[in-house]
Amino acid sequence: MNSLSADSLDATVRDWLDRQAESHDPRPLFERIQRTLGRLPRSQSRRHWAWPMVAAAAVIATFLLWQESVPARTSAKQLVQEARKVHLLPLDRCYLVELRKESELLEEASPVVPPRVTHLWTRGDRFFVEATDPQFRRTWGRDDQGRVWMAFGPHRAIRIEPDEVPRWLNLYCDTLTMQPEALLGELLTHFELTREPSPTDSACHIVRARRTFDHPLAALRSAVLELDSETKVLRRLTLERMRQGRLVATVTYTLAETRLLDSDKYELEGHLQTPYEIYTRDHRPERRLVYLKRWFGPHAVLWFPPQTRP
Amino acid sequence: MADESASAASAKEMDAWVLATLPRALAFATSLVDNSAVADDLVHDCYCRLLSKSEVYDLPRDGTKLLYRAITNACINYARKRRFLSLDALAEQSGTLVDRKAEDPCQIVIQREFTQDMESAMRQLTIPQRAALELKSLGHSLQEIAEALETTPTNAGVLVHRARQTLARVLQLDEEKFA
Repeated sequence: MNSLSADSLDATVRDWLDRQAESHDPRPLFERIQRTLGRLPRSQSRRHWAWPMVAAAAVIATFLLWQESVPARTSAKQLVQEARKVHLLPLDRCYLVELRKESELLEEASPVVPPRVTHLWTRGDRFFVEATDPQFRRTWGRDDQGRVWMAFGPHRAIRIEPDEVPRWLNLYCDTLTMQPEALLGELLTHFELTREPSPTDSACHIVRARRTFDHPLAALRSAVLELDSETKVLRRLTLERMRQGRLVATVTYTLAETRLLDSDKYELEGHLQTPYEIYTRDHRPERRLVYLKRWFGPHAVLWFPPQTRP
Repeated sequence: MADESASAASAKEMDAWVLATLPRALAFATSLVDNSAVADDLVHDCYCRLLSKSEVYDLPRDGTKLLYRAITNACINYARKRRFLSLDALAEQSGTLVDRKAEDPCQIVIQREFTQDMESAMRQLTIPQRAALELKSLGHSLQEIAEALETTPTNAGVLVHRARQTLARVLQLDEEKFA
């Protein structure tokens, strides 16, 4: 056990078990347990379901009549599908991100206390974040290869390879960022979408998304989308983030700016000026650890132990 | 009336507990018996036994400990019995259901490699070693592991230590292989 300490081994096993757990859909077994314990009847008698069937038929008939009597309007699903298409276009959008902590679990999940307000630039599923804290100016992001980077001014930066990124840091990235294309895709698949009345003076559509099934490992419970009625761009988005089945944070994204940025802004090098130095696992890891400690505090050494090479 | 609402609340609490613990319990059992269908059955039986005694035990408080103890025993018993079964049992290997939605292919490959490395490393361990290491990584104390494995805390510590040694050795070998 030279380079692999007991703690890191335990963390690896836990991480592996977590991944295995994520791949299990608990619903079929949960229903099977319910059936065995007699809480969910195997089959009900005709007498029991006759009345609900009649009621359901009445509801459907009423709905069909109502549908015919009101002018056709775009469904919530169609709106989200259109928004998804719009967010696939190579345009850069800046959102003001406000995070409200709802539970102590947020800090347990991530040792980094997220700043209350940040600027998030997105293009498709790529993003970078500009911290608004004037005391500690930094820009960070996760590139399309899953590498997390942070620039400390124009000449120094660190990079963390995908296999080094701890699970909590990925969760932290997911909590703070929204990755519109993937998010809208997830809403279309796993959420019940309903339209809500928009304020009379606003030119937007409001869609509420609620998870159809409360999966204990789900990261998102609900979302409220405000879509521009003309362009279908997300103008405002409120996400309820979950962990271990509990609400941990409410994150609100408000569209601040739309612009066309250079593509390299989504790469670390786009935020640096020559001469610059990027500290990585292989290049001056001891310097990288110093910056990692500035970002994550003294415990950084536990998550990014110095590599001992044979 | 009050009794009915209390029992409904208690049933809801139990359901929440089952849903919260189920994915990890399934993953734990699958890793011990190497067969998701068998793991499903064993975990199902363990939950049913525990839930049928929910009036005796304080499940939200002690349930997880009792559950892992029951699953560990059930898996070890199953493995013992399987030794006497025909080789056909080996053909029962079934893959787990993986939702790859919205994941990029690189991430899938990295995760698959990690999963394969870990699976082959875990297979090098005996079932008690595997159970001890996984329970330790899930935050159980040596005393709790000893109770689950019906052994002494000292022996549980030895099992954890040997499991870590083997795992470290196997993962190290893999690193060298890909260097």
